[in-house]
Amino acid sequence: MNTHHSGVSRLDLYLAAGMRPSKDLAARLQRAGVPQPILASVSAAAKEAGLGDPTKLTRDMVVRFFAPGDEEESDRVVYRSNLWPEHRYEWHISEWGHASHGGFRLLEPAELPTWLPRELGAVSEAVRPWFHTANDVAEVMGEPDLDLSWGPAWGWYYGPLDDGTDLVFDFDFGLLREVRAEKSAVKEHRAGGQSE
Amino acid sequence: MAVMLPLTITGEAGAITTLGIAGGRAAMVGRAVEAAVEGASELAGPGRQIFEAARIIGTKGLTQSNATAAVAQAVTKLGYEAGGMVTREGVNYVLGAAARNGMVDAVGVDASGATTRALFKLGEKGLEFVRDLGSIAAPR
Repeated sequence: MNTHHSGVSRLDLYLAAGMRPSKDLAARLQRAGVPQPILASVSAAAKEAGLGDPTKLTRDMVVRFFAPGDEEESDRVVYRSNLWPEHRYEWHISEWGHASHGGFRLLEPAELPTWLPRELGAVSEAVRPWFHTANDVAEVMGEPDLDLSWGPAWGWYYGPLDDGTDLVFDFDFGLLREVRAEKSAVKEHRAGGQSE
Repeated sequence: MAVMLPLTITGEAGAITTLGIAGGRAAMVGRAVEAAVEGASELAGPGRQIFEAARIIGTKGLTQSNATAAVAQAVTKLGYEAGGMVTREGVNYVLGAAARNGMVDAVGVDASGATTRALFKLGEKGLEFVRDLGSIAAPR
């Protein structure tokens, strides 16, 4: 693992810089002794290295910037994490050589039911923010009815439920930060005549 | 962040209906950008950053390019980076800066100022249009 600051890898710092603020992230950074300013400098360096242009990002650029992966296969580069020690981080490599975020994955299989009802209570009891990942959610809930992700912030919507809400799974780079119910965007989307 | 569109920025500053007459109106363009940012930010609660306005529209001229810049700046002001811009069939698409599993999220701005969400794929020929995800009405 390529350590960069206080034993934290450059990839971890880059991911932390791209996440929305949260108590969980602040606590992890504090425990690791990472000052906030270092995140901005890593983010700027990543941009300088071309990581901000998804159309030009390649495996070589990822490896050059973050160091060789702990596992490398034809379709992915995988890094262990010390800021998120229960997880690994995957970069997806397309058959054309483009690199893109694959997101956080648990190192060990998630302890989740094989199926959950679309109810906030049941889901909230089963999934754990800052632990379970988009991959885990997809295995239990299936693909979302509506995906309103933008960059590192992934928003998956399941609905509409009987009460007119959606179950919304909110992720940072595929790491679950919150599950909530809110007025159905899926319904609005379908009413607009659009199909996913 | 869920970027929910269409984006409505109304008022004197958020104007696009009269195309091509925005030259020399830098101050107005600036206000339009501010309006876009404010409009988006007002609706962006902590951890739930949402654009909810239907279109960048108004009574004074902004070019499509100006409106595109406004969208890109609004995204940036909300704490996210834009990953460049591409044009396809007359629509300017602001790209997300981070692709996911070979897919890139985008916000399109057409010549009328209407906005839409779209998905692109990083394919053999570079950036390939996948589909228009359409607009989503703002929840009330």
